[in-house]
Amino acid sequence: MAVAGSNPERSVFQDWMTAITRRRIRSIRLITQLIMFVLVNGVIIGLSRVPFPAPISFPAGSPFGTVWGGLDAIQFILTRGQFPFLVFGLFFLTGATVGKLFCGWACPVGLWQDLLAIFPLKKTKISKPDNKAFQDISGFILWFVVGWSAWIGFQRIDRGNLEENFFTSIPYGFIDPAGTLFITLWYAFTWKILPGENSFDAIDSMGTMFLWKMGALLVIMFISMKVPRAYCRWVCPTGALLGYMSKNSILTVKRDPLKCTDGCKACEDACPMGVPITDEDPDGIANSLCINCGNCIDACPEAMSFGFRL
Amino acid sequence: MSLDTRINYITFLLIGIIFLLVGNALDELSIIRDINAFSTGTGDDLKLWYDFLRPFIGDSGNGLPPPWE
Repeated sequence: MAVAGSNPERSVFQDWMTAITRRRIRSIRLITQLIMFVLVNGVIIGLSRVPFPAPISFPAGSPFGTVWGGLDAIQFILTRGQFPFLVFGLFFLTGATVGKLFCGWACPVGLWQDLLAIFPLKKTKISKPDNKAFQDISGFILWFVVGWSAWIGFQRIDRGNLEENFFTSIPYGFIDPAGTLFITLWYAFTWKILPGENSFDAIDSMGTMFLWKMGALLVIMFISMKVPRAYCRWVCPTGALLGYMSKNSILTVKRDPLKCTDGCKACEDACPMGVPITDEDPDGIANSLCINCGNCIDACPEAMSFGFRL
Repeated sequence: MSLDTRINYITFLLIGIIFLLVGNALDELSIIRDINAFSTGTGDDLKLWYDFLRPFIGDSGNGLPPPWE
């Protein structure tokens, strides 16, 4: 099959169509991600806010946000001294049915990570054991944030109202790149935090928290340019929570080992999360990293397919 | 496919449904509505918004200033 741009007699349109046909699922996924991005930030196009948590990495109370990110809802309800049954229930149902499908197809931070991976910077190859080890960071962050929020909730019950500050409502907001992208930066520009007549004035107007958050964002961006979806793999606590259920989700990706060629790792090379697909059960990937994106199916439609574990 | 897989997702499905029902009975969404000024229809209560968004934006001494400054 011709590779896009390889034949000078073919038109650009034909090359694009060939590329889209070869990457059918990836093209559909990109369109879905863009539509979901607009819907999640739907206040821009006049949609109403729906105060309902969604299993995606998205800040609560974003100026354009139509829904609440699930993790922020968990933190906020916990810090009010109540257990977030509804949000955890939503995560359990989502994870057990479609796994981390929302990470791959709907999460705005996931789209941002996919776009960063396109940046022409030499990619760093991460070994399977390292990928697995770094993944533990997201679990640690998740349970630290949940534990901290619960402790704040107990304090609030014990002492009455606590002062609202960085750590007593949404502790993860401290480094959350979704919050920085969809709230901090938006307010930075609309409130004219950068109004200085020259760049030095602008820098003077920034506070420690703003600089900290921008620093965290830039570090995450740089790492994500070197390692595709690095934030989703190793840091995102929303994905870590879904990962506990997604290992045995009903929707999964299956592999036909009879159609695999020895030594071929096309599926693994295409995987943005670094899932060791050929080491997984062919009846369904049981890896908490898998986001059901379908890149492996595009890479090898003969052997890979979506399926159900019923 | 192993029986463990089925037991695992059926357990999470059942717990998920129970949690959803319990959360609904406890009216957890009201906590979200209470803090979201636009959702409650109380208008542009900037103080409420600002208190809520402080984890993301900091305060006047340690991040972005309040919107009315």
